[in-house]
Amino acid sequence: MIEKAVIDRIEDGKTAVMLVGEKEIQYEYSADKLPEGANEGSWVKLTIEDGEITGIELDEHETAVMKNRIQSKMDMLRKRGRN
Amino acid sequence: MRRNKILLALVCIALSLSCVACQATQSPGPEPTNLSKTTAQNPVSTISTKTPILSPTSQNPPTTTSLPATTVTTEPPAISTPAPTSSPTCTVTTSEPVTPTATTKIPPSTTAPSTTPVSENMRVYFLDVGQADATLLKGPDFTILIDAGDYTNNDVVPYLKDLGVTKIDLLIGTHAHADHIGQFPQVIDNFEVGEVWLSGSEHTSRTFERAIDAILASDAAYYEPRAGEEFNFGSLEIYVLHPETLIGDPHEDCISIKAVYGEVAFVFTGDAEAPQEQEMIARGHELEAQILQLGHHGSSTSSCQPFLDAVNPEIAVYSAGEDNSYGHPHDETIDKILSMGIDLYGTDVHGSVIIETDGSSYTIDTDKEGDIRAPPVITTTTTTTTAVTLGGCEPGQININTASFEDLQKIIHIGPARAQEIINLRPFTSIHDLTRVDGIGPSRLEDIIEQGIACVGDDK
Repeated sequence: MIEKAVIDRIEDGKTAVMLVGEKEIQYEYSADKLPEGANEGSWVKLTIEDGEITGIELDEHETAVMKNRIQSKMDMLRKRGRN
Repeated sequence: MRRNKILLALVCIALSLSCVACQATQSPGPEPTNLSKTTAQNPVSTISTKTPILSPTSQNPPTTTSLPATTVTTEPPAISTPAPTSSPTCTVTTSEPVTPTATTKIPPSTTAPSTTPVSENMRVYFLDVGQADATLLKGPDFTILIDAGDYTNNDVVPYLKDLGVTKIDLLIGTHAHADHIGQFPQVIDNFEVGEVWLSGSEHTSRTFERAIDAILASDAAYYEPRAGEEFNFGSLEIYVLHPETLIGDPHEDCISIKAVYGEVAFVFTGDAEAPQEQEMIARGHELEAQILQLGHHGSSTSSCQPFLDAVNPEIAVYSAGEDNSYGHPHDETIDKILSMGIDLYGTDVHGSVIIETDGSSYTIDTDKEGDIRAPPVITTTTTTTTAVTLGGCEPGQININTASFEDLQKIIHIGPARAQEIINLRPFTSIHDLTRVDGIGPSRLEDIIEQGIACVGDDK
């Protein structure tokens, strides 16, 4: 099964905490095994078999889509200001 | 050594007033927000010795916030054997100065923390929300929530309702990780939120997006505070300690504040790590506070010795989940805190931790009794055992705990910047611990191990 996931954070440089799929199930994964270029905020495609992550690749397209979407929402928020 | 400041027998008065004035007192930023004043609930005096004090599933009616007034339920943590103060894991160096671009914004050091007399008590609740953060500051004329738990749980709103919260004047998301802004949507949906602060550092997770959507759908004001700014929320003063500018990394951009009520100060740094702590020192902020929330759930990536020295707290509190995957709080941090004679409380051990202050003294209460002890390996083992634990060094190898700035650079992938960082982050407990150094990930670590000249020995 292939699932989209985002790397929410990397704890202490060691453990990548990923939010997987529509339901954002939390998976922890050794930061050693992340693909090159993957970092906090990167979207990835995971292969999951029997609940285990058996494959991971960067999803640059999804990362860019989400980055743009969030940025435009943040721009709207910033226009609001303190008043 | 200042310990045992726990006082007994305070009659608690719970007054719920909405924020009267929230205004920037220094920054040349936007005009102050004028928030409407609502009628106060009747003052309630409650004496209770019942525990637990707080529970997310508690059935107590949300009309009072009771604090046991007759007993203090925890003993100060025991220190088995006073361990020597750990070597600093960061130092304020002059080799990589922090750019002082905004020094004009810094409050002058002569500006003493508020001595404004306060008439009612403030309670600070370090809520037990598992491996996450949620801290409520509730005073007579302000209600502030710093972080809102993990996205996998739904415990923050029940806590707040139990505590009689109806309106939140300020909701701070210290940074965009799902264990800090996780329940923003529930909090914003359930309470009238006057203002939201985020650092402005963006994430791409749907959890973060949902938090943003919730703020957008609300009437809350929005602000991105910067180091050096000062705010009044009712009788509470807030000094922003971090960030000065955005880097683009959640931890590096983490909002850190000092909150001062009368003469009692709290420092909250979210997940700011040692380099950010260094920046706060270098910018010259008045960091001293009686109570410090340990950064990043008590991780050894935070709470560097110079920062602990600068804050010089009497009480340290961390928020962490029992048996969490990351080993938070780390033994190194516990040892440092206890070695300094600071009383330590953690939500994994004590449940929710509540500090009540009248602006001059404070009392502490907790859900559960418990001691957080120094790790046995540090307090009881001999140097020989420690050396074995560390792996030891062969002649000709470079001990990363003691090697000079120049020698460190003989190690592959270590240039001047990383050599300095290694020195700042000492001690290292294993070669794998080098991943704490910025830019050293798994593949570079593999190269370093393969090269074979780096080793981890005693730091003496």
